[in-house]
Amino acid sequence: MPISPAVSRLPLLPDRYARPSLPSFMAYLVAFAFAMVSIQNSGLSLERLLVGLPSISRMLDQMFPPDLERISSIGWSLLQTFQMAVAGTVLGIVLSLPLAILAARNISPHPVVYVLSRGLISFFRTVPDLVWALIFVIAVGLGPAAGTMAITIDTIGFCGRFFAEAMEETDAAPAEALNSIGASRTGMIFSAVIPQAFPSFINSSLFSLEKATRSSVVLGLVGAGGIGIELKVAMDLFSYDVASTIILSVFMLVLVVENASTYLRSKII
Amino acid sequence: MFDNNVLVGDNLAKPAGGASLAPPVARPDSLCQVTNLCKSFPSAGIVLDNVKLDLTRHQSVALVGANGAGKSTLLRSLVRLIEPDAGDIHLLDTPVMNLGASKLRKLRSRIGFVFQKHNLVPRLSVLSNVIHGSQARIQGPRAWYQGLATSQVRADAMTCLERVGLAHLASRRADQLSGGQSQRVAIARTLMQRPELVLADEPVASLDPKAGTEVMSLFTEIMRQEKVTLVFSTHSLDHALAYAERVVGMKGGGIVFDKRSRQTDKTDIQTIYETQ
Repeated sequence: MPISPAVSRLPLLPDRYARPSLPSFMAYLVAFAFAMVSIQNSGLSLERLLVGLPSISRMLDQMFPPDLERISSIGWSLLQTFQMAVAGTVLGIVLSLPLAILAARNISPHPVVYVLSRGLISFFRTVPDLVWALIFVIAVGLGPAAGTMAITIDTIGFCGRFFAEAMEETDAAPAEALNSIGASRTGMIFSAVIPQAFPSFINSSLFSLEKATRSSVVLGLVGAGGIGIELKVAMDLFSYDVASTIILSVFMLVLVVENASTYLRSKII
Repeated sequence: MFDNNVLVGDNLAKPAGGASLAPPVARPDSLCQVTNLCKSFPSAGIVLDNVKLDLTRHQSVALVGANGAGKSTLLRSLVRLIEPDAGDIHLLDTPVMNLGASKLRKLRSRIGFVFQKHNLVPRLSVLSNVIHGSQARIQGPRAWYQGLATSQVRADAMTCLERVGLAHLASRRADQLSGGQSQRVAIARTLMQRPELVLADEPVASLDPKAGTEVMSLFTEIMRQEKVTLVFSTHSLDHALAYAERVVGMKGGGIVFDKRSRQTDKTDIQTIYETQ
């Protein structure tokens, strides 16, 4: 179809993609090269995978059918694992709220308090939960208390950041309205800021519970209570049928928590 | 041409002359005295330029002027939502400029402020939003949410909603209201505060003309019944003439005329909207 005169008079279209500058191009190149070298240094190879396939096949063969003889004790361990996750998450959420208020730029009482609170939250978040579990196992001994404390700290790091950011993103106008009539700072925070940030609080809290449920399984591997230690023992003793029962139980638990979380999110938010 | 530094309101016995640095002397019926108020912003330059204003009790005053004339800045400066650069403000027998945070809060609790965008908390119920007005008098969680409020506070809030004709919407979320309904709720919140003076920054600018007129009628009528002094800014000359006893024209950060509404004419309005 011929181009009409009106269309032919259009100015030149801009490029679909902007041409990167030389420094940007070099940065992309270095990042790509680093990713390639990292993959190479990880020792991954198709050959090793092919050699290992029979071992995986043997293990899968021994895993099925799962051994249901110990299902009762596995069930109790799973419940303990979930209780660790719930307790750690609830405590973490409760403790993260005041810290998040101090760490939200728009409502923090002082810039120094803001910086210190942000720093503490970053510290809690950047140290992995497994490291916290190791520290608390040394502090309070083996068992679910150490795991719960590790999850609490991890939750404070996670929720503290997202709660603070949610409060920073709220519309300042309702708080200004209360400020204009002489409301207290606490009144403004609880009447105007938190209600606006509430959907985000619910979202972060539910994600936090999902995260804690997955973490609580792994924390058991270092003796911090829960089903993780059962899984480790089963794998160490080559009881793959018991291990498969544990893995499937964990899978069911995580699935239930994630679906419940999605349902609650849709209902509340 | 009017002198920016001079007030010529017929109810004000002000000399036509240069700015006086002497502290204002409060008259018995004086509610607010503003002297030589100045404010500038780095981005906008001078926004208030030696403003003088005297408000008397039980009066309805309209501030009119083009965008950037300084109306909003003046209203906000009165309660130091914006900190003035210089000048003096006496409000409700209180010198405003040197008040500490605690005393400023006490003063603000006596002054209502209605905003153009209503500034309700969107996720909370209409009743909770009205109860927020009681934070001027009540501290603590009982003034945060309607579920925590005392029966007396809840009943008071319902009475305020009844006054603006929205008692039937008490349980509705604020973000499900129309613009006119939102502004009525904001007025009910102000009533809940029991203020002596109400400042309203373009209270109906975000509403359509019909809703704007309805809300302004209701608003000014309630303020008149409550014997509360009302100062509102507006772009609408019709609203200024219909709902205010006094019209103060602003241009370029200064007051260019200050007259009874019935004495305000087209020439005055041309003065404030002509190219600066």
